[in-house]
Amino acid sequence: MKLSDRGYTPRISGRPASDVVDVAFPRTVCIDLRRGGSTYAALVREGDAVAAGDSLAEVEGVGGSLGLPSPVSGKVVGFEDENSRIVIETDGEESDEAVFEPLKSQFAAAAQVRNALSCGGLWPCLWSSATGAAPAIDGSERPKRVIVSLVAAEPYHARGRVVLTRHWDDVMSGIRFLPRLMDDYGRVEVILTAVRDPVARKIYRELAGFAWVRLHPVAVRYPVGDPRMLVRTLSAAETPPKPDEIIWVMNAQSSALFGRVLGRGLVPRRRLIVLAGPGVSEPKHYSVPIGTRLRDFAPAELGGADMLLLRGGLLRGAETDFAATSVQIDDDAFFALPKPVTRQAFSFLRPGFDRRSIFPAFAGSALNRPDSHITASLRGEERPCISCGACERVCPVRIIPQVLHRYLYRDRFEEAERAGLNKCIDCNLCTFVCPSKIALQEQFETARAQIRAERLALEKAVRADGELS
Amino acid sequence: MKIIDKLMDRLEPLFAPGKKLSRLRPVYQAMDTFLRVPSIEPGRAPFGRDPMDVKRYMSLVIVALIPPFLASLYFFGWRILLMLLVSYVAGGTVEVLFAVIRKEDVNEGFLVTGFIFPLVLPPGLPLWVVAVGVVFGVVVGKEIFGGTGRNLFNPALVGRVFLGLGYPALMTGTWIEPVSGALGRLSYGLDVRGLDAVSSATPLVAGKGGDFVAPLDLFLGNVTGSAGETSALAIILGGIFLVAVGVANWRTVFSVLGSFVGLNALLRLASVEAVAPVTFNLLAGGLLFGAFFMATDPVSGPVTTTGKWAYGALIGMLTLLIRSFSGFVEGMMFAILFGNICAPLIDEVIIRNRMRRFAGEG
Repeated sequence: MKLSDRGYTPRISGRPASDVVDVAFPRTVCIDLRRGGSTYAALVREGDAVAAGDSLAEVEGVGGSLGLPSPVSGKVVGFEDENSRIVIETDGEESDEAVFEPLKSQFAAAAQVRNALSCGGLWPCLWSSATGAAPAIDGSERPKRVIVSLVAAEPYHARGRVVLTRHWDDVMSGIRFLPRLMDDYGRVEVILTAVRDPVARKIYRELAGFAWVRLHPVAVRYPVGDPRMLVRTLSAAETPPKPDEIIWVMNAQSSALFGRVLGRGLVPRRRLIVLAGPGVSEPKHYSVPIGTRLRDFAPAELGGADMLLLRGGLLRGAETDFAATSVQIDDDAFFALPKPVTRQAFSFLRPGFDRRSIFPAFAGSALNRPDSHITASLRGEERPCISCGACERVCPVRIIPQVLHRYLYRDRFEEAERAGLNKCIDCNLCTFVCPSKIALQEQFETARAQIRAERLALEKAVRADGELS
Repeated sequence: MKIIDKLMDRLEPLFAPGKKLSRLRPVYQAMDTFLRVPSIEPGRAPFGRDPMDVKRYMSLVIVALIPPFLASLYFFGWRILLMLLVSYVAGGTVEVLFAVIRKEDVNEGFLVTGFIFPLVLPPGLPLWVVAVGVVFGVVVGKEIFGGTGRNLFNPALVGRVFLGLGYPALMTGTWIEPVSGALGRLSYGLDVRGLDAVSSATPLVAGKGGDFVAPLDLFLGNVTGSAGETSALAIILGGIFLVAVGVANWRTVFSVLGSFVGLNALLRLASVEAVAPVTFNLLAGGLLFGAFFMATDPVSGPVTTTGKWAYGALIGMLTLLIRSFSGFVEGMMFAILFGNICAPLIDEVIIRNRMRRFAGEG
């Protein structure tokens, strides 16, 4: 029996409109060197003049080094935040001149494509099932399939449809380059929301002619856009992937940048992001030059003292400082969540017209209103698990978080592992819905780290033993 | 609301660590969080949370219990209110005592136990017996397991079983005759001592002798029986609310009632003489109350969704078997407690099954 996938999209106020605001080209741009857990080493010094496309920094990735291009021409005026951010003063206007050699999708060699993606700073946009992060860049990985996801990874991320409307040609061009990186007879699997959708029809008309493209409609329910969830989605396809098959995943915006860099030889310049959440009065999309500081274009309300700004979405986003944050090449959204200012009296007895829960127990559910009462707080206090089952209902990978919680509470790691601890994709849904406000995901993450550490220690001990004897 | 803020902020220093009342801090905390929602920041993703909390969850159960409670007030008089107060005061004291000793927060779960308990007792029971029962139920049924969320059995039922074994005469001889009419027994005033308690047989006892009470009386609750269990109408109203807000799991309710009715119909078709008619069995006794309010207790039931079906079926069928073929007239209480014992086992089977499937998935 196939376990069907679940998931859950909380209804929160502050859903972004589809219209896009074009942000003016800034005077200074900031490029972060810390990204995705690794720190890039700067290749430029203060006072250096840089041209668009010049490599600012590099980092050692799997199988080779990855570059980080300057999105603008200008002068390096300094470093910020313990040398983790390069500040560049731009000279003049936004110009689109080819800085890389444009490639032809039919003829380009794989090495050329990989090189261009690395120079364009786009290689980390790919996710590989073999590494759980960016794939190896030395060509040792040739995936059988590449998934292009046109659905948002989190609620209130930049929507695939908005990206498509603005960058149609680049997205399609990016997809056409993918076969160059893939194994023979590989397939591109395009994940979209509905096949009847006009955008989907257009994609179908444009790509259906290619034998190597398949379209998969999915129900948009968080976390369907997560790479590991997308890989799971394929197991329901006519020809499911083999267990050890290498699958790559990328999203619409990455594809648009691929098309821009590979097909037109331009440097990645703008990023579509969303400013959303209950703390934003007019949530919408923004087309932002990469490196622009939030404070240069975002409404000041996002930086208020009573506002918590999250980089990413509500469920996985991390806290970030409004004044110091600039839009980077991998940003999709910023989410503004008001901090709790007052403590509402008899909160639990109120009908809750402005509240919405997974339990249909607030008036907001009956009136189909989004939750506009949400703040950066637990909205209750931590209690022992009452086995309400909400976590099981939302878990996208069909583990039972409350059972894992019980095992881990008694330090029974082995049982927890067998009950699917390692299947957890850290979507945070169980933690979000838990009425007892238990930090389930944190517990799982800690347990996994502990198990890994114990295994490593054990391996070391065994190896040391072997060397002695 | 500012008054509450001011008051609580002024009281706070009295309970601060090192101060005289610091040991009673759980009491202050319970009061404080009851009056106003705490603003604890999560400190890591997800930074916002679902609005449901345990307080809301438990208060929804209490809201659902109001129709049966009002029905019991109507039929059996003000006495039920006194029983409720005794149950809350005695049980609440134990709960707070344990919270203070453990230095933990006072848990909201007790508010439900304390409300349910008087509703499953004979309405004429002396008040001190109510106190004894609830204290036993809370201590043995819950606290020695580690408090709310860790108990194996439904605490209210543990208390009731204890009373049934310890005070059998009181538990079977203090039924009150229901009074209907404009105000029901409420018009009798504060009849505290339950002097006119009669030991008239409950419908189930009469049913054993082949004398079945009219279904309409059973449906409305105009019969003798445990305080909150007589009115099927009120129970169904409250129960549907509880299922609708997602607190009671419909699977449990459905499988308890479904398996009960199914087996009952089957045995009737096979003309087994000991089995009463379906409508009578469904409406009489504690079946409906148990199905909606006790079997659905998430803590003492199985945690897996599939397990809830098995759990409900077990309870439903067992209730019928005990009612029909044993010396007891009512089987709901034993069936649920038996289900509580089996719940971890049911879960174990289902979780193992799922583990095997995970292993297969690779």
